Order: sequence, then structure tokens, then C-alpha cells
Amino acid sequence: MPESEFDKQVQQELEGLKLRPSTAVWENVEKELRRKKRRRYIVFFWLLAGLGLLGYTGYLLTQKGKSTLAESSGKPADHSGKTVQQPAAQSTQSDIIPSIPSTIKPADNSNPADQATPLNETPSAAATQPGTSADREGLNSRKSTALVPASKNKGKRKTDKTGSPVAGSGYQQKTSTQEIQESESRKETESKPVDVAGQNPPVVPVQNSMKAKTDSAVAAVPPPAETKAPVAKKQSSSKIKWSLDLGVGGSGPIGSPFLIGESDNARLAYDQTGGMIASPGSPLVTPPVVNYGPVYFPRSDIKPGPAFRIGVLGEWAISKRSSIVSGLQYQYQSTNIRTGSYRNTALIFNNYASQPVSVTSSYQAGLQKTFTNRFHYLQIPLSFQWQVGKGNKLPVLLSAGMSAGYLLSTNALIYDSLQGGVYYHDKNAFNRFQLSFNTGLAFRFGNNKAFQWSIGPEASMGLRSQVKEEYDRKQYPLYLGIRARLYLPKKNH
Amino acid sequence: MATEQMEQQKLVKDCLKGKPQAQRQLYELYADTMLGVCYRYTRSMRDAEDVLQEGFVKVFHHLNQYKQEGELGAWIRRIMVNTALNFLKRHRKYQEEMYFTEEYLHPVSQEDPAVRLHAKELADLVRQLPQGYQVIFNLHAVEGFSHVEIGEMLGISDGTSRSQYARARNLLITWLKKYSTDHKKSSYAGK
Repeated sequence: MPESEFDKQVQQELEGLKLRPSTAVWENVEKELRRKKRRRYIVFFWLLAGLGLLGYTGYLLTQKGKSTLAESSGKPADHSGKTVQQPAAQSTQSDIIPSIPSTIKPADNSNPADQATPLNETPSAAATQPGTSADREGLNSRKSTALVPASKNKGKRKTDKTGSPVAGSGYQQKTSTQEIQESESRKETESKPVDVAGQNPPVVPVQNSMKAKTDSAVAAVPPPAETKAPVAKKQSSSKIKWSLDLGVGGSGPIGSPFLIGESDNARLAYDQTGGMIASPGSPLVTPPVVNYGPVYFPRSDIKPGPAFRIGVLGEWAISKRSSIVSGLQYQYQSTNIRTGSYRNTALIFNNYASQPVSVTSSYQAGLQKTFTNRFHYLQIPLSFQWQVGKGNKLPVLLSAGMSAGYLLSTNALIYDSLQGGVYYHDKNAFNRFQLSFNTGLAFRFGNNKAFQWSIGPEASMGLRSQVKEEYDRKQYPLYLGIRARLYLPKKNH
Repeated sequence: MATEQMEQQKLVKDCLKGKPQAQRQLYELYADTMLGVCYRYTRSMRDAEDVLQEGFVKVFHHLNQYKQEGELGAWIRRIMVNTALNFLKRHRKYQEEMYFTEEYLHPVSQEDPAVRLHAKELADLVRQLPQGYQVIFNLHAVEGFSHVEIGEMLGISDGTSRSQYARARNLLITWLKKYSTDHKKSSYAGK
């Protein structure tokens, strides 16, 4: 406050002092702003990527649930992927094959493939090249899609019934006959219906023909499917293995990791408050002095504390031996420091981030009791897992990846050299978003059984300082522990 | 006045949107004045520019906290002062000099030196004060903080702040008198 003419003059002159900064200042400011913006984008990208992956795996899981329901409702699956209707009523069956003697049926049962053979006409090709390549083609197609010609046959039977040209009946006669003929006469009978089929275009397959053969013949055919799509879904959803993830270990900060260099901002005032200085030849120690005065209580060492992790993970196979793992985890980390007595008095001061801090209570720094700093994180991991070797008995899995985390809450204390050294809680002192690198090794047990589990060591290191650099030296959270994963048993379809 | 305020509000909004042009404009508007502030707290121009840089990064980062009630310049100045104090706390070369001893209240000199100095010369003189004196003198005489506020900011008692200020002021007056005498001598010699 100006108290005299001199004070007024000083205030006026110094307030109006203007100096032109060099151009490098703005360039550095701009660079720093861009860096912070980029860092924010990276964090959001990882979070979005993690959420997207979670959503996708959730979607796949629900689809799996739906397809499971569909399968359990009794609709049979066909390996050929063709749409199959439910077998027609018995009356229709008798209408279709009135002329088939009952004695023939056992023969049909014994060799269903043969039944399909004569019906497997390929009209144009068979017509032009009977007994040659078309023949082989017919045989090949019989093997793969045995039901198709049968349905065509049925369609022709229908036209027969409605009084369409004789061709249908002729064909029917021949096919019926062929069913009981020897294989030598097969070529002949195949060539004959082709002429007829050339006049009548192929009919949409109807399944009654399957019944038309015999019930036993149907039973011999592989179980039909509703459509091709459910099969595909079943394959993709079965690639995801869900597991409960549990980890127990210890956590602690690393001061100067090799990953990121020390910045000027990280050099803090209490670098020199690490300990008392003993005067030569004297048992007395001299406290180091900072701007707040002598520091009688230097900051405590930070000791590692227990940590654990729990979550749900989905393992998405991208090949036989590699997979992508993601999910949602809760992680508890802790560190231990030594503090002095608890003080229930209010303190207002400027912290190292130059922000006014108002605390209702604090801890005197000292070495009287242990205080546990607790950190609660929500994490979305995204890692690549690779199985070493091809052995299936006890697979060894290596994994590496990143994890985006959010600090839900913490009770951690911050040191300040104020009043000889105090610890206080300031939630703004901690970075909320954390990006960490994870790696681990695991042995998977029960690989060929329904219940699988894996266990092995793991490590993760934060790539972002836990404490903001304005408040303290960079401290990167390190976690070392043992991880166990219990795979949810697969449902048998 | 109202137009200026509206322009300032628009500038702040554009900065909040992350527009580089607006950020540059805001910087250009206040950089000179703020370097003057930083210069008074530090010992070298390089350190002053470091503080200015760090301060402007904070300004843009925390601009959403500016409530557009007070003057933007005053808000930025407060950030610069805090950044400067933070800078002094972090750097050893300043820490060693920043030692506030609990002292008895020192009488404030009522003398007014009959010499007028330009801002830069006066600032250079203030910068020659011991670091502790310099900080408290700047905070009280220029920024206008009360001794109680200074005590809270630096974690010292208001009595210490008063005493340090009185010493700083007396020292400055002595130097100014000497400067005045030397100046007179040199001007006589010149004649």
C-alpha cells in the first residue's frame, strides 16, 4: 500500500514497466499449448477406443446369447447353410411317393447318398455331356449338397399332380426306378430326366422331398441349419473368451524413469529438504532453509504399499495363437509415507502450483506414524496376447499393451515446506487420467477342459506422472504383481 | 469502455475455443506488461521470460476459471505473480537468498528521496535488493497486497513481512540518495 509520495511514485513507475519479450517466448507457449492439447486427444482416443472395444465385445456377447437361444429352440443347423423347412406332414409324404414300395425303404436307409444321386440333375450340363464331365460334376455336387436335387424332384412331383405334361411323371418313374437299380444303369437314367428338366426350369427347393425319401434317410443327413448367418455368428462369438481378472501385488512410484526425461518444472524447492545436515564435529543438525524458513521436518520416503486389481476381460482371438484382450478393471494402489501428528487447524497458503490452498486439517511432517496413500483407478486395458509355442498342454502366454485409467478418488497427501514441513490433501495435485504400459506372462491351465484359468506375473507402469509436476517431482506409478484369470466356462451347443 | 469489454469477452471466448489467432492476440496485448512484472521478481531477463512463458501457459490453461467480472489484466497479473513466486521456490539460486527471519518490527523511514527514476532504472534497483526483500517489496509496494496476505502467500507471519518491507524500503531510499548524490557530482563535474 502506498504510504507516502515515494511509495506512490514507485508503484506508478513499476506498475507501468513494459518490456518486450523475445519471439521465442510465444513460440514456446504455442508449443506447450499444442502439446497439452495433443496429450488430451491421446487420452480421449484411448478411452474411446477402449469403450468402443467394450461395446463391440458386449454386442458380440449379446448376439451370442441370441444365437444360443435360437439354437436351443430346436431349429436344426445345416452344414450346407441352406434354408430348411420343417418336414411336411405324413400325408404329404404319402402323396409324394405313392409308388415307392415299402420294401425299397430299407435300401434307401442303408445308402442315402445313393438316393440323392438320381435326383441330382444338372439340367443343361447333363443334357449336353451325359456321362462325362457333367457326370462327375453331378457326383461332386451330390457329395456337398445332397438335399438340393431332392427338393427339385419334389417340385416336379407337384407339377405332376396338377396335371402338367407327362415329362414330370416320366421323370418320376425313372427316378423311382433308379433308386432300386444297380450303379451300372445309373448313367442311363441320369441322362433321361435331363431332357425333361431342360423344359422345366429348376423349382425352388422344398423340403418335403427329404421326408419323401424316408425318415431314416433324413436322420442320416447332417442336421440342417436355419440360415448361413447364425453359423457365422456362432463362429465369431465363440472367439471371445470371457474371464474374471484378479491381481495382487505391490505398487510404488518411480522417480525418474528412463521413458521420460526430467523437466525443469520438476525441480522443486524441497529437493534440498531431503534430510538434515550435520555440522562437522557436532551432534547437532542444521535444518535446510527454504523460502518458508527452516525445514525441521523433511519429506518422508515413499514406500511401496499393497495393490490389487479386479475386472472382467474379453479375449478376442485374432489367430490360433494371438488375441486382443480388453475389458474393464478396478485397481487399488497404495503407498506408505511417514508423517507426524495430525493437526486440526486451518491453513491457507499458496501451493507449488501457485494456487491458493485452503485446508481444514493437515499432518505435521515427521516420522511418528505411517500414513497410507490410497489410489482408486478405473481402467480400460487393451493388450495383445501371444501364445509361445504350439503346445496345447500348458500354454505360456505373453501379453503387452496399454491401459487408460481414471483416478476415481485418493486420500494421498502432498508435502509442502510450509511451517517447517507439512502434509496436506489437495485433490487437484493429482492427474486424473493415467495411461500405463502393461506386460505380463501367464501359464494357462485346463486348456482342453471346460474350466480354464491362468496365472503369472505382471507389471504395469504409468506413463504419466501420478502427481502434477507443479506439485512434486514426477512420480510414475509402478505395479508389480501376480495375475490370475478365471475363464468363464463355455456353453456346449 | 463497453466496446472494449465486449471485445475482451469475445477474445476470451475465442481463446477458450482454442483459436490460435485469439491466443496470439491475447498474448500480444499483455506480454509487455507482464514481462515487466516477471522482471521485477527475477534476477535475469532469461528467468523473467521463463516465468512469462510458464505464466501464459497457465493463463490459457485456466482461462475457463476467469469469471469475466474483474479486469482480465489484473487476473493475468495475479497469475504471473504466483508463477514468479513458484519459480523462485523451485530454483535453488533463489531459494538460497530467500530466507525470511523472524525479526522485530523495523521502523519505516519517512524520508522521501528527492530523485525520480524511470521505471526500468527503478526496477533494476529493486532487483538488486536481497531476494526476500525484493519479493516482499514488490508484493506490497507494487502489487498492493497487505502484509497479512503476503504472510499467507509465503507462509510467514505478517510481522516478518512488515519488517522485511521496512528494511527493503530503507535500503532502497539509501541507494536512491546515493544515486542522487553521485548524479549531482557527475553533473557538476560535467559543468
